[in-house]
Amino acid sequence: MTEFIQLVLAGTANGCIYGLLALALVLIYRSTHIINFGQGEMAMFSTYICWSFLNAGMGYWVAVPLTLILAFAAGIAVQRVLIRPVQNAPELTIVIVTLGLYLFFNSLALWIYSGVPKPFPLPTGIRQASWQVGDIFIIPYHLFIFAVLITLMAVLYVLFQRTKLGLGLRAAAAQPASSRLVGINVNWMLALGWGIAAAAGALAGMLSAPVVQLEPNFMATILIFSFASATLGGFDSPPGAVVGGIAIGNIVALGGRYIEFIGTQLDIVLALVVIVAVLLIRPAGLFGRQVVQRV
Amino acid sequence: MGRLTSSNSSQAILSARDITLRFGGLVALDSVSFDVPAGKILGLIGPNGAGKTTMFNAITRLYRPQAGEIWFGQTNLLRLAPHEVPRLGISRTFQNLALFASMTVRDNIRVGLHARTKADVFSQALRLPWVGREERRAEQTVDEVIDYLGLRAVERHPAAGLPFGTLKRVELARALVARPKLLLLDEPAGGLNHEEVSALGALIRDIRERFDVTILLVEHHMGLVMSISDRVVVLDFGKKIAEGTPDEVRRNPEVIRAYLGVEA
Amino acid sequence: MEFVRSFDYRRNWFFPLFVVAGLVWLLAEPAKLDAIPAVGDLIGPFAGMAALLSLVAIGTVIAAYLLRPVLDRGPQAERALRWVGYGLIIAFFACMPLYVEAIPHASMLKMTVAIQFMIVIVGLNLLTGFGGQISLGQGAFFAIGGYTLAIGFREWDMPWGWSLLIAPLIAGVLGFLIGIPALRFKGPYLALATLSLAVTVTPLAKKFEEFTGGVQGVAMFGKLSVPFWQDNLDRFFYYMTALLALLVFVLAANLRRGRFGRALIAIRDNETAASAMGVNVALYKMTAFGIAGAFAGLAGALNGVVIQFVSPDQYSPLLSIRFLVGAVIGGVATINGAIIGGLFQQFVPDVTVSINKSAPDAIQAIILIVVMYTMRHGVAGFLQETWRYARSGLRLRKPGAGGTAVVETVVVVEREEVVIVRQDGGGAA
Repeated sequence: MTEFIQLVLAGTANGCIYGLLALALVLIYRSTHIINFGQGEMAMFSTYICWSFLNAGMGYWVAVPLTLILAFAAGIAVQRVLIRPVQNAPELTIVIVTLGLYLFFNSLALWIYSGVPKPFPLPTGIRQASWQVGDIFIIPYHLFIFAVLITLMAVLYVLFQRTKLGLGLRAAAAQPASSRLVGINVNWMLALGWGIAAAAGALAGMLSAPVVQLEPNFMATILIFSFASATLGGFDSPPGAVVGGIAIGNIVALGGRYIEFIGTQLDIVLALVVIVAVLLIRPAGLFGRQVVQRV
Repeated sequence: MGRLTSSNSSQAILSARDITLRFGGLVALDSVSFDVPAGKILGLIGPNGAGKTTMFNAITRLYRPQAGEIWFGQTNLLRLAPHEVPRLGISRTFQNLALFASMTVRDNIRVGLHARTKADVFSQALRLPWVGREERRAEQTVDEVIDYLGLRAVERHPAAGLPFGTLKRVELARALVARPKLLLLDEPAGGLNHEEVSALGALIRDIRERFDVTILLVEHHMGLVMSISDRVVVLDFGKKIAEGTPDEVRRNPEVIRAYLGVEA
Repeated sequence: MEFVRSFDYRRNWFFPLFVVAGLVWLLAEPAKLDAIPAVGDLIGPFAGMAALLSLVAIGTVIAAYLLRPVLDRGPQAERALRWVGYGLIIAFFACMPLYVEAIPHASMLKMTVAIQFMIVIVGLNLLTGFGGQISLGQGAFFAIGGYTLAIGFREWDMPWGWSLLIAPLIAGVLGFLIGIPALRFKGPYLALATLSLAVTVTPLAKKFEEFTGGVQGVAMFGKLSVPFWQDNLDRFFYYMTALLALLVFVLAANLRRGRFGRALIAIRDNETAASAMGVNVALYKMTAFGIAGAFAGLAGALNGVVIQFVSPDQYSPLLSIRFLVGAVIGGVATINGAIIGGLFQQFVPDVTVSINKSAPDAIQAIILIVVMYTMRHGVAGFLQETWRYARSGLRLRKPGAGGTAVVETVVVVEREEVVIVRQDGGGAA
């Protein structure tokens, strides 16, 4: 039982990170029906930028917000420069362009920072040692991740549901044509969506970097888990992405421990199984809306 | 089982029996029954949202009705998969055009022959002699339809970008090339101008004679339906409210009410 | 009246830029452009490729112009000329040993691998280009091919020739079966699902150590012999691969122009309409997956035979992505594009890896995005269009009176790639 709880704690912490990146995927998918295959690598590259800041002597609490702002701007730039021209192109074209993003950021990181793993520090003020409650060890950083996720969700909720800007963002995503008619700058809203997604992804990268090592491919596995999370939660539901992420985190943690065949090597297979199972049983995911096709 | 119609001494080629189709809570078709007499033109009319196109989609199995039977000869169409329907000799056109945009006009029409040709993957990959023979025969059939509908000038042109009226003819050609026994036309006059509509009426009648085909026609254009249909079925809010010759239907008070929106 | 497709200069705005970039390539050496910090190294490869493409395009125009007397005799002459073209391509590959040494960076082995890429890409062209089913998982089938050879060799001493038969069978059947869940996915979802297929290959191969040899892989160096061909095995493997590739191209081209190909394109363009025409959409998609899988499996087995070594890390997800990239750059909805795609995937990384270990991927990424903006139908599609342009008499504008109305719409629609022009019929009702 102790071990189980321990696994759930770790799984939830990892799941929060998957949920964050899944949130980024969902924010973009919801507004533009694009699955951004480059999302993970953009996050990875942001994390390297943050590492550069830290390496230059900047404090954690300065470097991270700065990186988030840069990632936000970069997300907007990517949408305006690369995605908008192909917005109405066939699906294959868009998938290819986002794959291009994947390859580009991956190789750029390898080029600039080499493949040697870099240490990434815990946030200043978060202690390394764990607390012991009975038989259970609680790692402060896990709580930190969880707190960050909750805060971000709250911020996004307020942004989307309580502000005029959020209304515009939702309107542009749901009904681009009508939104245009009522004077919403849809293109700008979509770009903002990419910016928010890039920032959320960057956050996922910077949160996971201290746990796994920072190297150019570190987000690739996380991206697959996030895909599974978004699929599970429903590709058009932001809360679903987060719940899906936590679920996937636990599935991976528990499955790796209790299903002998899976072990630690085949955890990615679990993600694949989840993706296929969800798409077969309930394609819209747990929280997604089923769409009726009209002929 | 095939059925005989009582209203008309000619045999029904298609019989819909008690078709009920719901989308969630919305009843799109409510226990609709009618017969399509062989060799005739049957007009299916009704105000917007009456369920006409839904009926078409039920016949061609794009939708699955919750109850009822649709008999075509000895076959209950509702037991079939969508792609099996055309093999029986049922072809259709679409209200909003469903052409293959990147293919040439000729290839679009060629796909119409899919159900009438047999070449399997392996024979095709190896290009066995009989595949070549089948292709040549198919090309000939396509040529005939192209000439009949006057599409020669655009045959090598991709479908995307042709004028709307031309595309409607391409769709018609694609449906006709399979030499169907039953042809379903979904708003063939939609988007056409006045002269084109009258030409279309003549064309539909000529098609019936020349291809010896039964036609089921959904149409908004009253003039066209009334002038070329042998019988007319009227739907309103998913229910059949009238059936008969154009003259009978025209005089039917229910129909007038449905169309003019007079309170009952 | 024959429709002449005019060259849409607005859509091909990029071409002059390519020519200019090509000219830069001539200057690159004397002007020491590679001394420019950071990007200097990249100017050479990019300008070189632009120069190559410009030259080929200009050559296409000149050829079309010179051959006009022949071509004007009618469609038979055009068809005959196309066969001459195919003959030239085949001759080029058939006589490879004569000049392979003279081509920079090339060797018989590299050419063999390039042709193996072509085999995979042809399958992908059928599946993704014509069938519209995006697959990022072809590397998995490639791996199945490789491991069919390796496991057969390790466990049962199976002669390698058998794997060339068995691998496509296994990969084909598996592809067909994977087509079943794939039926539920559309567009980017399918890309996602197939990508996760590609991702699982390496860990699975590592996991089943007792068959696959785990991380160490299976080494077969010098143990794959040919009874009747003692020396210069490279050459033997080259011709074997090339002949099988020729077979694959012929099969694919037959499928493409027949009932199957039309049905596939119909599914891609409009699934509902395709099924209303009697196309069994599910079966055709699965078959396309099966064919693409079989081709990839064959190529994977051939690759194992040539490299004589099979290990999990050869089959990273990046391999699958590279296949798709190659297909797209060559021209995904063409058969011939696979030749360009295969050569690209073999030689561009090979040439650029000397700049930096990660330069090949960076360059591919940039080329990929540029190609998507400029030549949506890849290099082969661009060359086809250039050819048509040259045939239309180098007209830059729409042809004059007669059929203008129609042609005009075509130009507009082609630029915007509208799926189907839909006019609202409501007004007339």
